[in-house]
Amino acid sequence: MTAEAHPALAFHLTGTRPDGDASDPASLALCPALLRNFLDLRELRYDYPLVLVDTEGEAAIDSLCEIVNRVLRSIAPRGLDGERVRRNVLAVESAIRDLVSTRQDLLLSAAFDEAADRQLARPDRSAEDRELLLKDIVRARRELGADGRLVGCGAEATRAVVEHIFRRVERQRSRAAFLQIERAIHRLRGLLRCDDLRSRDGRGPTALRNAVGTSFESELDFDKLAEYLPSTKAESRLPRERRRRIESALAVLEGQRFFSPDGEGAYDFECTSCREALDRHDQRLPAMVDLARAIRVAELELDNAYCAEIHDPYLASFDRSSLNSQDASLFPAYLVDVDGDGIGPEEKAALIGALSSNLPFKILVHTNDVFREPRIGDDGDFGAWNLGLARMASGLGSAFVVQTTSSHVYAVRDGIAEGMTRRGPALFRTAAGAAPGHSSISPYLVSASATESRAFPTFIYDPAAGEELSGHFELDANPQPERVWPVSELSYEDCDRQRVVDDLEFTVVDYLAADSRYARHFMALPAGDWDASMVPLAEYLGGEDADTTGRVPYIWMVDRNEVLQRVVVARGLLEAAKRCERDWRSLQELAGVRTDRVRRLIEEAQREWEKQSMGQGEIAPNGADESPTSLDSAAVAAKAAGNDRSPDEPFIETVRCSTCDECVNRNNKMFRYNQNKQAYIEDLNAGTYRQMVEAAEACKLALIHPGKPWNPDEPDLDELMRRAAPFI
Amino acid sequence: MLGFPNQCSLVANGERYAVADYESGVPRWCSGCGDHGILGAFQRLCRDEQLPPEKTVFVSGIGCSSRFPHYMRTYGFHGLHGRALPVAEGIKLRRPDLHVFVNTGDGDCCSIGTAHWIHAIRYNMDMTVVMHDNQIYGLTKMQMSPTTPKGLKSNTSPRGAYLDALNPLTTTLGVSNVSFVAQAVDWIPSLFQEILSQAFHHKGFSFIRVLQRCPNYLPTLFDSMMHEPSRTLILWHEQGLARDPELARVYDRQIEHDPSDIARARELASDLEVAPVGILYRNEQVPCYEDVRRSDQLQTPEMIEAALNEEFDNFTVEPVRQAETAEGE
Ligand SMILES: Cc1ncc(C[n+]2csc(CCOP(=O)(O)OP(=O)(O)O)c2C)c(N)n1
Ligand code: SF4
Ligand SMILES: [Mg+2]
Repeated sequence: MTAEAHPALAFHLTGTRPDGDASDPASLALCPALLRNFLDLRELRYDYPLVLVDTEGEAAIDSLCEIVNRVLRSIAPRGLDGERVRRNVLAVESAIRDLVSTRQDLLLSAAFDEAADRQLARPDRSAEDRELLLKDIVRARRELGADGRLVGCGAEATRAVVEHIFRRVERQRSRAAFLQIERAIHRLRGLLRCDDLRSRDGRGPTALRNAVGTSFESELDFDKLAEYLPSTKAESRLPRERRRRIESALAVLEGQRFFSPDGEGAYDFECTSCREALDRHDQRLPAMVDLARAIRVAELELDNAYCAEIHDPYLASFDRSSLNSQDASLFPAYLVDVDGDGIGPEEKAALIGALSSNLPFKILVHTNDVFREPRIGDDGDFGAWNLGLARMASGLGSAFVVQTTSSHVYAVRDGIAEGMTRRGPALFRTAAGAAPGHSSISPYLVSASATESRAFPTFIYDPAAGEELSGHFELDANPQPERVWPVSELSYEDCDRQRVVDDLEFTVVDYLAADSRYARHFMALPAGDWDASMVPLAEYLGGEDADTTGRVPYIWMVDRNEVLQRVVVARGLLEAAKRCERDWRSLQELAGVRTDRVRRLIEEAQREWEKQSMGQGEIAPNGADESPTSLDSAAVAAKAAGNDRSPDEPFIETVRCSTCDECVNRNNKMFRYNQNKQAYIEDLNAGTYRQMVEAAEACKLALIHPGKPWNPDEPDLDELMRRAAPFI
Repeated sequence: MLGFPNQCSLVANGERYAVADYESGVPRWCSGCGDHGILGAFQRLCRDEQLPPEKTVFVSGIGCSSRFPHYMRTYGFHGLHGRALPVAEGIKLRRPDLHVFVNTGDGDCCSIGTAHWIHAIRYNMDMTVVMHDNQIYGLTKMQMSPTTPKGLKSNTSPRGAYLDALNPLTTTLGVSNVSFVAQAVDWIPSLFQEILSQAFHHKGFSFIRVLQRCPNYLPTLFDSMMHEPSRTLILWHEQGLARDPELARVYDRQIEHDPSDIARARELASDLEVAPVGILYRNEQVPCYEDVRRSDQLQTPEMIEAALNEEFDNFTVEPVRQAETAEGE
């Protein structure tokens, strides 16, 4: 068979079509078959619109759908009544979606009210219906919870979410830092105030008069009172050097401009280029160093731990290199909002620099166009930079990375918050489905299919998550992460009007088929021209070793009349598909996802192992030569040590001494306390055998063993030895 | 302390506190009094933990045992009878950076201070409380206390105490939010030391009842326990005290007890024949009141003054004018 004789093959191989051919998806208004059911978003309940919640203590991002679910859980009972409540509230939810699709900056509460009014005003409702609806609406409204701005899934959605989370985290950070600094100021001032009170002036007539206030002013003679107050000793005043140190730290703390009670400092920490952020950071470094130094002094002074010999030189040489990661977590982070579609080489270099630093740069690189068509001078085709940036950043090892499309931003909101909270750099690589070629499909659907097709997988890379690399990557937000391409059911009616359900993979080529800029890489084929050489694209791509010569890959699309079409894919596009597949597989590997391949390998290894161990007989049981536990041996050793003692020698079981003072009160030269304040015999010659025996009798725990007398001239030894006998 | 993690990697001064650095004055307890041993254990704890004396407070009520703060060279508050706990709570609330310890007697805690005790357990504030239980009022010269055993004669129960004693362990274990309960005896110092250390490290209200000898008024009270090791049951566990083979030579009744098992703890605590020694119960999950109520609001003296003035503005105090009074009469 020659290519000429087979137009589909010819198109596949060359990408050229006969003159006047208009069988491309754009001209025929084709839509990838699996997307067909989602074209009308009004019929769907999905994460959007999102709610950017301002209320502290509540989750920063919520989703309308989740909120309504929560409301329904609390107000809609089972049964018919509940059904009605559900229907009514869901109608309001749907009306809110409508509102958000045309208006911006709506608050959830306002949108709810407006949507509810619209529902109530519908002419097709009976008076009774309306009354019940009103009742349901009022109850639902009460349960709404925290308010916030609504965002739809447009080009700006991810930016709005990332910015919102950043500002909330930073406001909290700034407020906490402000409070800590205020507390330090307050307590340092307290130290100075105490010192002032001890000064001559502090005890002088004026200070005393001020302390008493005006009510009894006339009753007291403050000059006399001042005379009576004892003057303070010089050593109870703060040393001059210490006072000066506290005052200068106080001045820095009081003058700082990074933080304020409302969480907003004097500096601007948001900009649109990494270069600029690095410059700003450099300019502010001296002020940061001063503040960090003052905090160190405050800590030491308040802990009463300042030691001039150590800390004077330490603080004298304190500079930018002395700032550590804890300082980084104290100071505000930078939000850099880089335009991913227009980024130039200089900014790219600054971006890499920022991401590999340990500075708190939170960098959002947003792109509207995931698969931009190659331009002259671009480094790579099909947006290689766009697709590879996040993975490259994860390779740097220092940055927290979140990659997501706008459709999946809700699913990774916790990851975004984590990246913001961490002290080091973070990259938020986001994409919206707002490329020019996709104008006929809603941005939500475009971005969801960018994730679904592995064109722009969603992932989180946490550089600090555990020892193993696989623990650092999280792919859970992707559909069917263990597969190469996710599979969905396609149900249709065949020519015999029978319902057929097929499993269909959704690949990056399906995603590109919906982009009119790539239409020329596709050709729809009339059913009459279908033949056995045609293979579904996923199969074509999947057969790594298979011979694809003479094979024509196709995908399924649906036309305006809801008829399924086989659409042949030009070979040129398969490069992009293969690269996506390769990238996705390597992500799976990095994340330790148990793919089919991995599972197969494990099974093989297991079989092999079983085969080998069959002939080898029993494995020796563990611990056959069990040795006595250390506990037992310790006990034995202890016992032995106890028996070693000669009964003739006076002795105290010091470790059991309960510090009752009985012996040391009798003779504190013979009996002494050790560093643990437990008694031992210090000097036998400092006391008598009588004292020893009496101490033994007094010791309630019988820890004193008097031994034999050491001075044969002591009187009454016989009697004493008789009394000592029970304690020997 | 500032809320900033302390960033000075340099140790302020190479000096370490020794036991002697925590000693203050000569204790006025009778010789042989169990309080001496408890004092020694606390001084060792402070040394082992290197607690800065200026960051440490001992609070007590009234009683022999409550003289404790005088003998510690730290901050101290020798308060009112039965009121050690509310004072300690106030300190902790205002100065969460301080290490707060409470010493209270059986009279102080289980008689006049009972209401405070019960609520302090429930508040679960981070402090270590040792109840010196000599089962008698020592300071006021041998009067019956709530823990005095039934039948024991004292100056206020000359025919013997009529009622069964109150059990401080089961009582504590019965209060909501209880988070740490242990029992020690002053005559086994190594166990008390270990229990004290674990109580100190527990975040929350750690309650240790110590059976404490009063050789002056009840010289033989604990004799049977001291002479019959089988009346002591030592509790060990991975999460509690380690097994001590040295001690096992004398005290051979030792069982494994999981301190998270409150039902078993209550059972063990109810046994009046055999005294459990060790950690009966521990739960790290109970929130502390000072954390629950922690406010971000900085309270400066100015703000406190303003708030007080606002309160005072609710009242009018009219000065009694001499002339008018005279006229009225
Ligand atoms: C309000 C008040 N009531 C009574 C007393 C008298 N008082 C002083 S100490 C004490 C009992 C102390 O017993 P305990 O707490 O067991 O301490 P111990 O002396 O046994 O260590 C009493 C009733 C007091 N000081 N204040
Ligand atoms: S009376 Fe009892 S409790 Fe008080 S000091 Fe003496 S021995 Fe200790
Ligand atoms: Mg008592």
